Amino acid sequence: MKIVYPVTIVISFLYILYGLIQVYNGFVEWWLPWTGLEKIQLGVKLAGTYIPNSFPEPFSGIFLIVIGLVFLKATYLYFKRDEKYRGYLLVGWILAIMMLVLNVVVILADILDTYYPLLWGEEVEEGWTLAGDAWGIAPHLVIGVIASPIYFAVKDLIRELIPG
Amino acid sequence: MTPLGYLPECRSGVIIYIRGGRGLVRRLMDMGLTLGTLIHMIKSSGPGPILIEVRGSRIALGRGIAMKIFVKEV
Amino acid sequence: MATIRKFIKVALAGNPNVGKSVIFNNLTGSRQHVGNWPGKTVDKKEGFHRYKDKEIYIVDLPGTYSLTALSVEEVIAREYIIYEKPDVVINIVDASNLERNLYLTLQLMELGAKIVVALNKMDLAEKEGLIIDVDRLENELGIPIIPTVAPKKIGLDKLIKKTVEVAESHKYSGKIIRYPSEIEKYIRLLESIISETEIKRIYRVRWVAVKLLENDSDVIEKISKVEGGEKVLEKLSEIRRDIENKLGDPEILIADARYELIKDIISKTVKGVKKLTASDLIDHAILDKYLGIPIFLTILWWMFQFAFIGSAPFCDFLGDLFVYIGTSLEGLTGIPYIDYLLFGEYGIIQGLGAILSFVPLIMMLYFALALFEDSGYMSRAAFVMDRPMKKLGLSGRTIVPMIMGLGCNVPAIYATRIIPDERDRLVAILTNPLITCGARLVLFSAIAAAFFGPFAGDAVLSLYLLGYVMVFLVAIVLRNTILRGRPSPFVIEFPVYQKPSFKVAVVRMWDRGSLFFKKAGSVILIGLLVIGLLTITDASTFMFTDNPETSIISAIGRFFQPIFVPLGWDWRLIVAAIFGFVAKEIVLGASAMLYGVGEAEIADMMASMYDPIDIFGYLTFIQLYIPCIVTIAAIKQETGSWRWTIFAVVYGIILAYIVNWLVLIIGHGIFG
Repeated sequence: MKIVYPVTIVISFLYILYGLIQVYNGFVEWWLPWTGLEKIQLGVKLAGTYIPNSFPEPFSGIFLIVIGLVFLKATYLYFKRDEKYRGYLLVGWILAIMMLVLNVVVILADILDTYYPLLWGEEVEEGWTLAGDAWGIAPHLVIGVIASPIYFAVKDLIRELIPG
Repeated sequence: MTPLGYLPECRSGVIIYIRGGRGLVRRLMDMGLTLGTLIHMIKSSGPGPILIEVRGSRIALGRGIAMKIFVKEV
Repeated sequence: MATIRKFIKVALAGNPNVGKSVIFNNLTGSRQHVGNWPGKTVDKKEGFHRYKDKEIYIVDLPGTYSLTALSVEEVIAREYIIYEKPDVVINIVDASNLERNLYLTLQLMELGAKIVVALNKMDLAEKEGLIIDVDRLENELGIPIIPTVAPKKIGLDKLIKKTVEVAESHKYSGKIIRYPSEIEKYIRLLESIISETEIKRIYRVRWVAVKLLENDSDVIEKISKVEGGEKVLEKLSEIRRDIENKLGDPEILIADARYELIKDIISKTVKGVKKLTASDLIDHAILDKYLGIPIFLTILWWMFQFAFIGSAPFCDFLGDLFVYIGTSLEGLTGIPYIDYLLFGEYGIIQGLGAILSFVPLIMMLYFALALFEDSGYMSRAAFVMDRPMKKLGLSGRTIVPMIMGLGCNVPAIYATRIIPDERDRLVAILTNPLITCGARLVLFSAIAAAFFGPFAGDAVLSLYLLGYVMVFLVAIVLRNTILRGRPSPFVIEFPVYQKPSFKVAVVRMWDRGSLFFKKAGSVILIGLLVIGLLTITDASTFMFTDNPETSIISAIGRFFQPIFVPLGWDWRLIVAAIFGFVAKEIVLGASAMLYGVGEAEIADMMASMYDPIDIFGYLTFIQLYIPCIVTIAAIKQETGSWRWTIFAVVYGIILAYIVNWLVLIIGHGIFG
């Protein structure tokens, strides 16, 4: 699995970086609004918003950092040639996929929430837009996609966990 | 003999004595921890409960209890 | 319609985590019912399975490692087998954990039940490198053994077929467990004495003999009540003394003997060595010294985001739906009294809607929780959190209800069943209402936004923290005073991790969610009716009034006003708090009605009338005082006592009053 370590280093770096950005943005938005500090966005500008959208929420940021640390430890153990790295890799992958799914659920829920009044013929004044969404396409989705190929490195372990 | 709490990770020991009231001893027996049972220490680093393997299953024990179970390392 | 010729009674028994529920669900499908064992707070699951022309009634006994008298689950299991006399006991055994599982099997055999073993998780055993000689095992034990893989329904047909066969045959071929001869002779001695009494009519003699030697308190008590029992017990103490002098503690001897027997059987029937499994690897990461708790918090946060945001559209939809129903039915009956009560803006229909709009949130929470339970993660979470929790006087497992309380205290209180120690459990139940539930969050957010502007988030967060701090303080106080006791020993088994089953999670979500729904619905309906009536009835004329200021409820509010003067409340806040007693969700709507404004404007209106510090104090009172009546109903049900329920209510109000008062003193002291 020689391909593992450069990939996990990059993934871990991305999670920690965007986690820090979210924490910073969260601080600026929630607790230091009077300082007039600007929020940071690091991404591609598309459809009126950034991809990934580092929405300001410190807790979200903290947990992204945690995932980054898990991947970091996996890399560290891999270098030490300790078999246990596979466990960390698997856990990291599972958490990454969980965050990806969460982001998708959030977007779907927001869309549903905007358009359900149509069910009884009510007008929807403001439609849903990516830019208007609280989360948008956040690091959870983007880095999650980047991390998903790790599946191939942990495939055998996953198979063990599936009953039958 | 040492208390189970001091058994190093990845080492095994055989239970030679359990110090405790009826209830505790019974509870442990039901889970498979009897005198003469082989225990394999999986995780005991850091504070908090320890994780052992006994009779093929994984059991977590509070450190307090772990100190009441005495083993001989093998 | 086929004639049912036979009704077969079957009980499912086995260790926890062996896949018993999956088998139960597979066999009974929708023909099942979940209730309570009478007088106990343990789930009772029963259901039916049709096999050809026979109806099989199946009871899922609580999972147990043994059949001692030490836990309520074990007593339930064995009493069912002794008194209800099922035709067959299906003992579900985890093939990957054979050694420990057989301990229960031997005890079931001693009870004299007719047993069929379902050797489950055969696939897992195989993956772990174990090879089991099933035929040889059958020979050694003398009972039928059917290999199964529950999630794939493999072996279930054969299991049922064999069960029916055994039920209808009159032979029992299970081997009698023979203990080492030194102990056997005492057992035979006891047996002969017991056979001379009436005991043999009710219980199996050999089982009684063994249990008496094991000092089983429940059996001893029951024997003492039977004719001839006293004599037996006398002889028993003689025998026990004899054994202790010559051989040692009988209890330990017997347990050891069982395990020796099992070891012998295993050596003849199981080959292979367990490899380092995926589960172990995951555990090294999950239980990592530094990352363990952060991972736990991450998963927790995930569950909440998933539940709150994922359910939001459904909650909003339900809320709007009821508003729609209410407004379109307005004026339907033409009788103002009933119209207002039922369809009015703050009437029952819309009030009910406000509360039921919570159901999707609760369902989602339960769903997420069930996923993690099924995967095996929950026991690890309790393990990881045990030490920090112990420092605060709580057991590790308390973390689950403490987290669930963030959604709703009611399911959280039901969730305290996972805490084995009674005192720990009581503390968890009594402190849970202090945790800010979703309903309070809605209320706080609205008011905070109007009063505290950019600091609204901080204000709400501080209320959350206040709740948790109070939980720990109250827990410590309780644990050192009226609920004093040693913390229960932390012993928990880690099942192997597995991909959680979507189906199982949905079933559990539906079970528990609909339970909440029914409870909440009925209790709140009554509550809404009562305060609705009080609000539209004029205090002096007892006629209908649409002016709340003259209603009975405002009279009540004014009556209590003097008590709340130190807290700076006026009668309206008192009335809102009374509404909050029924359900926190309706406080906002109720306040709006009392001020005669719409719900959208109420927060701003209050901002113009009250001092921010006073309102913050009021919010701390709402945070800590008596929970809504559904919570009270849950407390009553789970503690089984009015005493504790009343205590919960009273201490809550007192605590809330004191804290509110302190906030005012400190707040005005600093800010003037």
